[in-house]
Amino acid sequence: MSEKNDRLYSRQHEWAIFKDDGTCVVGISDYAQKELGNIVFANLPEEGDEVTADTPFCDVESIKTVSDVYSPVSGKVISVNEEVMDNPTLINSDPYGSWFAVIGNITSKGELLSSEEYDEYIKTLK
Amino acid sequence: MKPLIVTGSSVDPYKNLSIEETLLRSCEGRRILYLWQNDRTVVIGRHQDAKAECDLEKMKEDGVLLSKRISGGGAVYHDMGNINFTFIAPRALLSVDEDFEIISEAVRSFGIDTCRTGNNDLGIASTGAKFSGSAFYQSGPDEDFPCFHHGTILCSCDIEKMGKYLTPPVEKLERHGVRSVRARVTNLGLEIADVKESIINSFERRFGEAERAGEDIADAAQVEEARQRLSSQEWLFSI
Repeated sequence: MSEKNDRLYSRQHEWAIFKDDGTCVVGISDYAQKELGNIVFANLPEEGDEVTADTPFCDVESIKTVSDVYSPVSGKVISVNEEVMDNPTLINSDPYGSWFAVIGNITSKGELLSSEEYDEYIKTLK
Repeated sequence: MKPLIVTGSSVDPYKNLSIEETLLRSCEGRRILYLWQNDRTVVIGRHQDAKAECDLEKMKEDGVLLSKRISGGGAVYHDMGNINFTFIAPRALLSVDEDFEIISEAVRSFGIDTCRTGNNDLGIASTGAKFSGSAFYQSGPDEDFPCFHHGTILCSCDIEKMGKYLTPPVEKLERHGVRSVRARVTNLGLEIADVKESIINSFERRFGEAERAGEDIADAAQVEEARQRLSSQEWLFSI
């Protein structure tokens, strides 16, 4: 399966789109949502939260498990997707449209992969 | 590296959940089985609303504690007639089916056949009544990340009290928070010490001889840090 090439990916299976205004939009990959199964709750961060690259900043609960979600950047949460909080199954049906948070004031980035590199990486799993 | 079996002695739910979390964070690729008991406590899932899931006033009157775990799922009642198990391992090594097989084998050794019920439960085969409920936490979806599968085993729990304190809703889904699902439950009618020994035997038959330790193998400073967090009003009453 080919990942969307308009964004970057972390090894913890988050995606990140860096916008021209210096902010970063974050969600989880198709691989992650498939591994999790039906998601029943998205515990997203709050606006104003300080987040650290490669450190958990929110979590999701599926019928299988609770799983931490890692921030791909260090910065500050400037908005969260209320729609995903109200209807977490959107993450399963549209992982690349279901953004979790927009992060601004970015001070550093974690290691991120291109879609091709991420594709190769997930082939090595399982 | 040999697997590790940790037998708890504390019956304080906040300390026990902190020991569990500390063992998870420091497992470093090792397979761990942690066996523990909470004295009278309602334990709710990570994304549950305490006020909706249990009768806090009745609990207060009777001195029953409220705690909240980092894993998902619904509310359960623990007392000293219940024993809890936690299987900790990197995600690539942990198999829920295998864990259930270990517990089932342990219970079968007393002549009781088991079956899977609900999403993540074990029941008695002849009646289908649930004696064990499970929940899961992973520190991320990657294979190397540690995760745990933990659950209850009802041996001689006061099931009447369970009904008194837990208040699962009639309707299943609500907009905010994860709601509990009511299930028909039963005790195994076995001694805790016997079940504990049988689980240890079943675990070692599968994974080989294990190193044994008490709960003080978990780093005291990390346990204390987690205990402060997991017993805070903010943690208990946020969804």
